[in-house]
Amino acid sequence: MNILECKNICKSYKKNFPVLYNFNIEIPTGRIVGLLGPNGCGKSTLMKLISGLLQADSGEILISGNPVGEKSKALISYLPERTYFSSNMRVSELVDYFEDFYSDFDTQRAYKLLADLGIDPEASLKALSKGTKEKVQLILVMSRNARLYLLDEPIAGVDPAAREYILSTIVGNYNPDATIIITTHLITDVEQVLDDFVFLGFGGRILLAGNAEEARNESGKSLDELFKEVFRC
Amino acid sequence: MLRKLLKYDFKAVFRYWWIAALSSVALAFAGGWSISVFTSEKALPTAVIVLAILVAIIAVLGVFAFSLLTVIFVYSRFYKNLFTDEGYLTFTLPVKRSQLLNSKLITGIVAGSLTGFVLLIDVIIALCVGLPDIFFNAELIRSFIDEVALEIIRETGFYLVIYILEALLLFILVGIFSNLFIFCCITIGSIIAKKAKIITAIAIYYVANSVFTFVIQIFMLFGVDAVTGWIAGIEENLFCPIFALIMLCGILFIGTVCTMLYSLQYWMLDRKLNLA
Repeated sequence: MNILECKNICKSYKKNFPVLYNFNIEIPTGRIVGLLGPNGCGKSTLMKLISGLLQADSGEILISGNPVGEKSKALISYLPERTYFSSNMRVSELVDYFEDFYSDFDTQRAYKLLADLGIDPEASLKALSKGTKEKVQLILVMSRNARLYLLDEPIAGVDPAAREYILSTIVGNYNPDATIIITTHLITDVEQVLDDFVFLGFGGRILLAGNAEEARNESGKSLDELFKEVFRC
Repeated sequence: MLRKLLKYDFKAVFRYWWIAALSSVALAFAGGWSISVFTSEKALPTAVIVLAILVAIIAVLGVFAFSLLTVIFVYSRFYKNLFTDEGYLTFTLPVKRSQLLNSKLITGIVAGSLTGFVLLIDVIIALCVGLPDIFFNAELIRSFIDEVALEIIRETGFYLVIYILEALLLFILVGIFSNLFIFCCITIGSIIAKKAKIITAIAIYYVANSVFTFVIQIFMLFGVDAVTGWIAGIEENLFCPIFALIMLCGILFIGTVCTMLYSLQYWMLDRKLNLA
């Protein structure tokens, strides 16, 4: 069964400048999918449409058969590319917040991951560094047993050691029956964990897509090299 | 889910509200002392009078600041929680848009009502401390009850209950209207402006408020004479039911405006949201 189906999705921010035009995709369950493309091709817009932050101008999005709404949001764990919590809270208050609203939130896992990183649950979010805040956010997202994880640039702006930790946290803590969609520019770091990939061009055109391992075997190139070839300026 | 949203909205808005409320109560005592100095029959030193003037000014400013802080707490929570990066979390919660809006609205109404209640307590405290001879004068209170309160009951009869219920409903609807009006201004400001969203929202508020005030003034200019002339011609025994009917018309009008504002606000949150 497909966890995500997008049918003829159109979205534009300005008239005559569509970010996504008749975009179609079906993503099955239990896969880690890399959504890769240049800046402005619609990756983040697609993430926002699926998570319910934006409304499509036309078309249909189904998450496990549910249209975008209250039910689909309970199935999705979304990590945006920016920090989204109130700095007036403490880490433990944020954990309580997630526990309150998401029935699939694993509080024990969240505290274990925080302890692994040496993050004091009673620390104020205001006092944490940018990188630590991003890790806290990732821990909260990955502590849910969601059906679909949407991770928008999870490793951008962090050092290489932190990137490795983030990727291992993603792979080590997600529900194996779930699907993860990752958008990133740092393909070299991410491609080792990807099952499938989608190269997205401007207007939401899918230029190349498939199984990551098969693509590497057939072309003899890494995904990063394929990306550079497809999107050569 | 509405209860959970309310829990966090209340936590955010009332986190520092209670400190401001306690401060205003303390200032009410100080203001009461100033009144007692101004109304004292004794000749007091100039320094005491000057101090009383300063304390009175601080007390008035403090009470005003408390009201302003409530406004800031409520509307900054609305703005930050929905239109800044926090919106990425808020709008992806598994809740309905209407629940998000209702939570903010209920929080605003409760905060406004509690602030009004505290301000009333402030006035009572100031009068009790400043004018104890008048405030605790049993004779004066008895004559007020006899001359004013009982007279009202005699004139209105059963309609007094209707007036009280209508006044309560009007109070709630006015609270809903004021909150929705400012919510709409903030939302429109956030949608149309890329930068300086709050300034845009304030500008929209002043323009919309000015238009509204202008319309009311036109009515006052041409309508009041007609209405008062009509009221003067009403038979005395029909005055109470007609007044109740006029209040009901007012309730229906404000209720309709509130419904329109709620629908507009909901539509903007549903269709026009674009967190950058």
